[in-house]
Formats: sequence, structure tokens, C-alpha cells
Amino acid sequence: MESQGLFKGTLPLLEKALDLRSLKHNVTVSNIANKDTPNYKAFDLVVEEELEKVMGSEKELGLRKSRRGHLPGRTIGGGAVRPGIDNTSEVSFKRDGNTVNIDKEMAKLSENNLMYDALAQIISRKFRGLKDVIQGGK
Amino acid sequence: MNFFNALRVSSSGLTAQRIRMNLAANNLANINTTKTPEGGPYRRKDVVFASQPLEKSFGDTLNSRMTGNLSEVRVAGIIDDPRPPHEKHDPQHPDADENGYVKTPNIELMEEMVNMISATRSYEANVTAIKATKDMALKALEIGK
Repeated sequence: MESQGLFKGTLPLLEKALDLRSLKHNVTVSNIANKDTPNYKAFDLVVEEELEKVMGSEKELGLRKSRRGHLPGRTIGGGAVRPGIDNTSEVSFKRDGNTVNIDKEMAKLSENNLMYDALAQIISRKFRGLKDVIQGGK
Repeated sequence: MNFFNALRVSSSGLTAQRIRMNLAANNLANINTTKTPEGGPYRRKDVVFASQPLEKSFGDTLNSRMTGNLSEVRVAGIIDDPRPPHEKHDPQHPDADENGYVKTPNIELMEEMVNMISATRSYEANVTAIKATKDMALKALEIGK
């Protein structure tokens, strides 16, 4: 009756990581679209830091588990994460107050894309493994 | 849906850059125009961009308040460049004044070319972003296959 083991551990972590990656993608896309907008300030989201924050905290939003057999459910509330203003690029060559560094944003876009693909693949593998186990390796 | 928002932001960028490109083409085509319906030489047109939080529906508003600032680009307006027109000495010209000077548009060729290339690059950046969004969404659909 121990069904928790199957979906605990890796899956919620991967899920959260995937969520954060897609949020980061949105932030990057927004920066790229606003590359020529005066006074636009670039935003950034460091996925690794946010992930550590989530994993470190015991307080979880979502369904309460009152019995041992309850599935963990979706414990991730999107509420906690807020992209901050990107302060890393102090040098700006533009006079219009825009802080988007397009080279950095494009690099971030493709890096994030790769990481997302990797995560999706790992999740896929995880499910395939579970399926194998359920079918008894047949 | 997160990915659809990303697509919307990128496409707003595409629209904005296309308008900018149209204006650059407009300016280049009219670089020697001395007669306009308003009278006087053609005046250089420029575009003003503004970022706008993505809040079209209740869901959008909630999302953007919760997770931060997705902004799309809006064309806030098209302005006439306030710089004075150039003056060229050409007494034969029908639009020349009594001293033989013709007022020609306040357009710098090089400036427009740079503007045009910058618009192209920005457009390409947005296209790349759309492609990346699409790839990610497709990848997400493959989970569990």
C-alpha cells in the first residue's frame, strides 16, 4: 500500500524545475521583445536558487496529507517565485535607460531551452521506468 | 497557459519591429520629397515603443501579479522628428525660396540604414524566441509518450 514512494522524491523536484524553466523562458522572451523599449529594465530568474529555496523549505502550499497513503499531489504554488531585476549588466551603451543585453538574453534563451529539453527527457524516462516496473519488465 | 503568453509577447515584439521597419522604409523612400499634403518637405517619422504588462484577462492579471512582470511591446505612437529640415542651394528647383534654397527632409541616410538593420536584428531575435517557445511546448507534449 506504499504508493507514495513512486511519486515522491524525483518527480516533484523535476516538476518544479520544469515550471521554473518555463517561467524563466517567459521572462527571457519578455526581455527580448522589449529590447528596444526605452526605460525597460531587464528581468532575470536564477532557477537553481529558486529550486534550492523550494526544496529547503518544509512549508508547502497545496493539499494536506492526513494519511500515509495519500498522494503528494501538486505541492507547487506558483506564488512564491518572482523574477528580480537583472543587475548584472551595469554597463549600458544605450542612453534610453534600457538594460537589456541582447547577447546575454539569446544565450539564456538557448541554454534554458536545452535545460528544459533535458528535464522533459528525464521525466519521460522516469515514467517509462515506472511503467516498466508496473508491467513487471515485460 | 505559459507558452501562449510567451508567444503573445514575442508576436507583439514582431509587430513593433515591423512597424519600425515600415517607417524606416517610408523615410528612405521619401528622402528627397519636398512636397507633402501638409505642405513643406517630408518630415522624418519615428516610432515610440512602450512596454505594457500582459494583463488582458483575469487569469493574466492574477498570473502577472503572482509571478512578475511579463511585458509585451506596444507602439505608443508615431512621431515626427522635430529636427529642422536640411537646406540645399538649388535655384532651379520649383520649391526654392527667393534666396535659391530648397528645404529637403530632415533624414540622414546612414541613420535610417542603421535603424533598419537594428529592426531586422530585433525581428530575428523575436523569431528565434518564438521558435524556442514552440520547441519547448512540443517537448512538453512528449512527456509520457
